[in-house]
Amino acid sequence: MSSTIGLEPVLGRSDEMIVNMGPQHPATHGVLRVVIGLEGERITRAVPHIGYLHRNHEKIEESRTYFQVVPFTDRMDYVSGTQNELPVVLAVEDLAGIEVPERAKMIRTMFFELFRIASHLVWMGTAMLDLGAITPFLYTFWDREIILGIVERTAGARMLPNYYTFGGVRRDLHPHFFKDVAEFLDHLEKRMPDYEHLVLENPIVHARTVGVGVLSKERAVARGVSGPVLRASGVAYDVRKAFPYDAYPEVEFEIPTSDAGDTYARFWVRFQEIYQSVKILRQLLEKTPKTGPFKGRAPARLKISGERYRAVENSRGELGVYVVGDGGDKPYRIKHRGAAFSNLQVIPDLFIGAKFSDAIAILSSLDPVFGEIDR
Amino acid sequence: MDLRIKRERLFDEDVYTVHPDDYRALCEQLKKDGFDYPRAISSLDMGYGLRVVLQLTRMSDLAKVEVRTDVSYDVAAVDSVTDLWPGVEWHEREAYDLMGISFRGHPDLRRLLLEEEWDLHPLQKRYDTGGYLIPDWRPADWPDPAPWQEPAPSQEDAAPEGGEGE
Repeated sequence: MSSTIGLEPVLGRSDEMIVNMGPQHPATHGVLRVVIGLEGERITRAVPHIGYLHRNHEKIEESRTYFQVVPFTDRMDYVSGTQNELPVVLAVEDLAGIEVPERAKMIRTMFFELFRIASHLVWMGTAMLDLGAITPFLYTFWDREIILGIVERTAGARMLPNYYTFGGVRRDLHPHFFKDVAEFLDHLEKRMPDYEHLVLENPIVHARTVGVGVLSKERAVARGVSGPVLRASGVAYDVRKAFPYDAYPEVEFEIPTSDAGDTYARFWVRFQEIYQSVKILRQLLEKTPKTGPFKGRAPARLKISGERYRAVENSRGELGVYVVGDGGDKPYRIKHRGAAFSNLQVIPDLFIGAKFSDAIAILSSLDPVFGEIDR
Repeated sequence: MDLRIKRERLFDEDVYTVHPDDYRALCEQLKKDGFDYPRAISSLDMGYGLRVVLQLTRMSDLAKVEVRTDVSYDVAAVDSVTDLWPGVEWHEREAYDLMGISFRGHPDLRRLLLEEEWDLHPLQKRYDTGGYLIPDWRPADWPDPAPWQEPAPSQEDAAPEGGEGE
């Protein structure tokens, strides 16, 4: 029975070839299996299978206190670190009525944007690997290493920092933080023209991505996709602007959108987001006081009752959480709304009709991270 | 249309609690009211039954609604809304997989994350994290229902008070 799962619709047709991609395919960014039906070079069917990295975070978190839940969320989207912690922290702060000092909000936002750059750099390197270019990967990971170093100096860990907490952040900034970030931004701005040259202006990338995997505006909204995938289809929806949190109301930035909806547009939007993140970070470096409170008053034992849905705009889109408390110190139920999880649903929409070789390019433009999809 | 429904406002969302038989009708009405963006479907084990929580956003003015409906353990099924919002397809499959709620009319209701042959639903409270069913687990009594409110929400009523959008 299980060996034919996903194949039922296509078994028995002689003009269709079944190709199994994954779960260990190097271009699936983790453990994704897609059963693909082919007619010549064209994809006629695509059935994605997920769950190979499933750990049932949601059940484990029911038996942990709220403070223990926060480091668990780090393990979801493991390339964007602190961004995962924020929805839970915001939801619990809402329910418990915890005040956050202005400086703590700014520190959170700076880390949030640093990890957005880090995540987009990882995407850039791996997407180009999928297209057959090895060089950009080596450059982008070098730059990402600088960000992880900055994070490590303050938070104590590189990829899974467990840095945000209810009422602010766990530690004050490292004395060199402002200098480090300013130097990194200068460095990145010198690098960006190189990246544009390697990726966006690359004729091979153009040939592989322009007009490939077009997602219409209406379909994108109905499918519930978010983040760069939604904005590349022409919808200017960004949780940072729509439902602002932390220090985002105090900084100026734009929402880059494209009307093309193809794979190239999704590449382009991520590039523009890096520029916007640099802009946000530069403003915050000036606005954030060098000293001051980094954490508000929060009870050592949190007892929560009520329900709250909070979302943030992480590197992949709307990362939401639905927290239900029953008055105890442990959550009654936590539901994570994964951004990459919802985005990955469009695989059949985008794959069917495309060429088999384009499936790899389309998948890399969705930027899936399976720690968050499978949870 | 007479829908059995309760309305409240929590933070920045309108929350509708609806009778499971009217769940689908309310969703159709919300779709007509312009709620086009599905955020998520969550599922809860309430101790006396299972709850489905559907969350929607209207892109034009960023209004948010939450639809809740409770079903008993014996029924454990509601109508699917996949045809209204295709984006809930995997969320419904996840709720079926982990919580054991069936969605009538779902095009492809298979387990999403767990092994296909398994017959347990681990997010139910009768399932222990150790991997077994708690032997003396009994469902709680169904709480006394508060009276359903009238009238049903309409286009004007569903708009958020105070102007949530930009």
